[in-house]
Amino acid sequence: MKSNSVNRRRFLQAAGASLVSFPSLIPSSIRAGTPPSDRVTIGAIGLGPRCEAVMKHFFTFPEFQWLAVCDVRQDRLDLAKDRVDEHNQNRDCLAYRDFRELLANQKIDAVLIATGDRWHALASILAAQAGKDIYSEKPMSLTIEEGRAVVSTMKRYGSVYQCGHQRRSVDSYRFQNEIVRSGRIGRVHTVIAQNWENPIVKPSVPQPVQPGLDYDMWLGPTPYHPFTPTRFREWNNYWDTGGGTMINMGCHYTDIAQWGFDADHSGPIRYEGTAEFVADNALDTPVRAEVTCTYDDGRTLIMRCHGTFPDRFIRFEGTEGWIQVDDETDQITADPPSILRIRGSRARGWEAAGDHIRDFLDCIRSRRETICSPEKSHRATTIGHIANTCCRLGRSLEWDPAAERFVNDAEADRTISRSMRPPWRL
Amino acid sequence: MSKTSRSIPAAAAIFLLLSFTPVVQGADTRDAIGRVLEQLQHYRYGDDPSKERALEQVVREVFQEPGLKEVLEEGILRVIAQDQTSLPAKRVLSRQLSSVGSDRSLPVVRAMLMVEETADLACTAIRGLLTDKATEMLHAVLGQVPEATQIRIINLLGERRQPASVPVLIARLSSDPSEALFVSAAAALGKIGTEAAVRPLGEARRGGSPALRTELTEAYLQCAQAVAVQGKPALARQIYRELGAGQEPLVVRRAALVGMIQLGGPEALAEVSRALKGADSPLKSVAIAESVRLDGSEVTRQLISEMDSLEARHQAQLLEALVQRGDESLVRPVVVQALEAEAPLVQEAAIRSMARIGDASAVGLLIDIAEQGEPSRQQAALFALGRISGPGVDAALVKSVAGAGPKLRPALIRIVEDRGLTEAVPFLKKQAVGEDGESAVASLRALGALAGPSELPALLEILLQRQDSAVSRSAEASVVAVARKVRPEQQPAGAVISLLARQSQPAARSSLLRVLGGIGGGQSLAVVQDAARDGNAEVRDSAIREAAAWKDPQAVPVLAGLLAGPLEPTHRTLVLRGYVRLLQLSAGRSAEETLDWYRKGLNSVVTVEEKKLMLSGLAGVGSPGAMALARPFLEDEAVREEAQVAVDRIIGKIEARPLFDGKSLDGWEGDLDIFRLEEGAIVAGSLEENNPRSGYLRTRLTARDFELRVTAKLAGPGDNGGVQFRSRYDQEKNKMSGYQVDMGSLKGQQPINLWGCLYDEGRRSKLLVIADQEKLKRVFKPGDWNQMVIRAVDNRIQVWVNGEHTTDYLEQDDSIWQEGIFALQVHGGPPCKVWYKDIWLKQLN
Repeated sequence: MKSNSVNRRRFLQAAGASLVSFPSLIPSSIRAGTPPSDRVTIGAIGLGPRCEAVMKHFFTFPEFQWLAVCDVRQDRLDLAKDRVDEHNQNRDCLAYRDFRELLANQKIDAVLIATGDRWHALASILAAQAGKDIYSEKPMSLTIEEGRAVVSTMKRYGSVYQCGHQRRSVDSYRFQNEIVRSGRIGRVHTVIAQNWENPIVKPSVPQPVQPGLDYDMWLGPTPYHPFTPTRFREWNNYWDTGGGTMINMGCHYTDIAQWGFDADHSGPIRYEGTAEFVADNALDTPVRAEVTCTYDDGRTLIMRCHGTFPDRFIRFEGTEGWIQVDDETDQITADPPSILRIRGSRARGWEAAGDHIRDFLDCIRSRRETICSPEKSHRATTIGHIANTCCRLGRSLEWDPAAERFVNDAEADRTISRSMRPPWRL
Repeated sequence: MSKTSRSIPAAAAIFLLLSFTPVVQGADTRDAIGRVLEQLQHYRYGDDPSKERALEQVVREVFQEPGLKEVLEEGILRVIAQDQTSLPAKRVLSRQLSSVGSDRSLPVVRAMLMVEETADLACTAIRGLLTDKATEMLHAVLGQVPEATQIRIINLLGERRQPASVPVLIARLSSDPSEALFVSAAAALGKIGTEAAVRPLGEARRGGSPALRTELTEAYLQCAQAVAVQGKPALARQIYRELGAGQEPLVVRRAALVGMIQLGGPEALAEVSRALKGADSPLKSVAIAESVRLDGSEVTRQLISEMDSLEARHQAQLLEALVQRGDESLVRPVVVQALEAEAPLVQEAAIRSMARIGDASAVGLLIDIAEQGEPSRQQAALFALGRISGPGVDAALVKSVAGAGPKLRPALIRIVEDRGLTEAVPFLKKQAVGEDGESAVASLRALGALAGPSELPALLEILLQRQDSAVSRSAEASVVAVARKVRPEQQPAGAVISLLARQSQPAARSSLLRVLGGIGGGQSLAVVQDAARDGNAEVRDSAIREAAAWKDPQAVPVLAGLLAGPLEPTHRTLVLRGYVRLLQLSAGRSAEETLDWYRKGLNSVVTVEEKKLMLSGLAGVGSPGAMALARPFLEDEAVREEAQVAVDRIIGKIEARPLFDGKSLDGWEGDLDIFRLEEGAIVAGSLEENNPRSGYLRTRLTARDFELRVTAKLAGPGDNGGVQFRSRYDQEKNKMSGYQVDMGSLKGQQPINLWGCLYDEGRRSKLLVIADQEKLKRVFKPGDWNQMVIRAVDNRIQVWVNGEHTTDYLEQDDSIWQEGIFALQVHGGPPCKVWYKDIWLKQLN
């Protein structure tokens, strides 16, 4: 039997690189009674359920001072303002309907962007131009070009950008990553990312826009469609406004895969797979899909969208074993099971964004690169976009990660970007 | 060209289509594409989405076949150019044109650009067509369209990034346009960002109104980034110098500084120095962070020389940046000096830095800091101790843990564990039986991780020794952890079991039973099973709890045995929960076996809560057998709701099989002179003439309890069809009798929509129940495909039309037969045509 301790040491060394970026620049001595001048002032753009979930974690940091909220829906705006006011113990939270006004407020240092996917990239870019630091929900972009634009904008303005791929800051996934990178399961050759499938829904006819909604702003840069309840509810699963589970949830998993593969500045070069579209589905994304993404050294990432919501997991397979994190339950299983003994007892599930926000905060102060930097997140998100293109075009694709173009494939290249609806432009 | 004859390259993706036949098939491809496009021409929102899905499928298929793409493009262009084509249809078509369009589409796209309501669609369509001709067309059309469209086209030119557009855009900038157009042109120029764009953009920015400043600056910065990539750093520097000037807003100066540093070279280092000497704190932070990009000892030296003039927070930041550079001989003295710094921030940064540049000699110092420093310095020291590396570090650590005070010891033991220092095992064993509880707990945890199987006897001894202390659970966990390192064939539980046999104290026996539960395995399970009937209540309690919490489905028979015998109520609940939990795990059991266990479980349940628990587990089994088990509980008032949920979920999970393959009438018999195949559907009747008689297409297959899904369409004045089930066919009399879910309409004063109504054909010959007309009004699509789901279970018959539950019937007459064939009907009489497709059956018994 192999000595556990040797592996243990190996993994600490392998993990060393990422751990060194761990030290918090803000000592706890300051944290306890953060003086107002040292606080980071922040506002939220997009106030749906995801915002509520993340904001809750932000609230645990006294270093952030909440100043403003913004949404195109009056009902959500009112609720969020109440929430912030309650947190601040006053009635001063500013409420905006147009995020450009929030960005123009010079008192605000940072923004949390939790809009629908169609706004993530553009709002991040405009925020950077306004001098803000950004915590953006995933997926960071609707297209590969948008993602690249976010990367170059953050670079251009020296902005701090944290993508909401918070699993990198979650204990179970950190542990999995350390095991993988330390060679404990041998040479890793495969990652299986199991996701749930997309719904089948009926179409609906255009209706008057629901009261209190700025629908034009809701649509933003995406192509015009009249308001229908189906599109409004299911924006996640229309190509124009989302990309289904493959990107919505998939980007978390591609991010974990890229991290474990140590491929943060590259990506797979071949994509092939199967997709099932349903004829009488109002949604144009596939209901089920499976895409195999192959890296230049033969390693593969298998992206699956089928099954139910709780069945999702991410599993690394190597020549000497495997390790799997069940996303819903945060349970880790592995072969050989002795791997699990190395695990500390600091477990917290995927939902805990605290450490991810802590990293964001540290980086706002230190101006270092975040754990989910624009480049890493863009590379991870790109995989989901290409997997989706593979489904949409119904054929296998070859990708050149250096040039960020398909290989001799002008037709596929057309999916890299889209035209924006005026007055919006990248 | 048929789909089957197409050779699929080995690596090609295979795309499955659910309930979808290939659209482009048969000899006349052109016709097939034409049909799909024609269907779409009057598309409206809310229409049958299969029209749009069909076009998408065509697009997928044309990519596989050379030559087809042109046919599709021509077709799209033809339809999209027609006035009578609806706007939503044009929207759908223009999106697909963006995939398949070529230079041939330019005249049509141009015409669309000229009309305001389609201009945006045209831009979508032509976005990816990066040919010179397309660019020329866009340039040419620019002078002929209203301003809104001009702006749209200018944005598009920016997105397309064709250098040929630069002169056109420069001309727009200087043509005294409106602000909106001006700023669009600048943005587009910035994106393309050639050398020629630099000067006009600079002028635009200097001359433009303050309201446009942010956007014009953004264009200028983009341009700088672009020319740098094109190998003209001097030009980029020129832009950054201009933007870095004192009067610019901080965000712009920050961008200029970052840009300058990213370009590298001596200028970059000079900028870093300038920022560090300057007055703006945010610029200092950025300069330090970005300096990581600059290589060389010279840079390190320069940065070190700036250290003293900085305030504490930037000193701390710079320290961490320096340590990352790796110039150890230069950096180490700076860090060592900072350990003595007055500002706590700087000191803490220096302590943390020891993780990277410290060695064995630093261990003692760090332990001293951890021992005496205030909390934040203590944390920094522990952080460094956990990560410091080099020869002799481990030995120094183990040695100093023994000497550390009791307050610090648990934290240091944790570090020993994290670092995997097996040489500390003897020390940890001593600590595990020591007086200090916290150190003992930490040591036992560490032993679990570090000790090898040979330490098992020693750990068991510790376990017995620490029976009455707060430490015993940690000792149990430690034993479990080490025992699990023993290979299965060497009986990991062996030592524990033999020790258990020699113990008489109930507390010790309970403890060892918990250990067995943690280790798991067949041998442990057998011992736990025996102990579950132990004479001592404490021992029995531990054993039952372990059995109930067993992780492996191998415990199912044991739990079944316990359930069959006498149990206290609490234990019963625990065991039952464990039983259901294990049955839900996939265990390589056959489905039959699983059902058997559920049957046994259901036989033993007594209380309402127990029944609910079993039903919730059973709901996860998708088989007719599970249906049979759950159904009797529908009669049980107390759990009817739970039983209904279980039945629904079971039906949901049972796999459906097709009764119709979409291309043949295999499996069907009957009036083959009336029924025929048309475009993937079963069709009967005629719209031109009367149907001389009713006809049936029957299955040979019979069913009693089932769920049938069928999609159907009706047309013609005599509209009447239906789906027979639980029916009989009398060959001699050529007569059909049994239940029928009706389709059609009853005209007259009070018209009735017959879809979903239940009729008794050839038997009682009457409508048994009328479908909910209000619901039908909402979901029924006249003249279009409608989906019906028919469910028959025992004497209850339910129908859903387009997902809406319209019909619910309970058969009260026991003499009515409840099993039989299925059949599709067309009614005789006035012209009527009926289509059936997507016929799927779930057998429920």
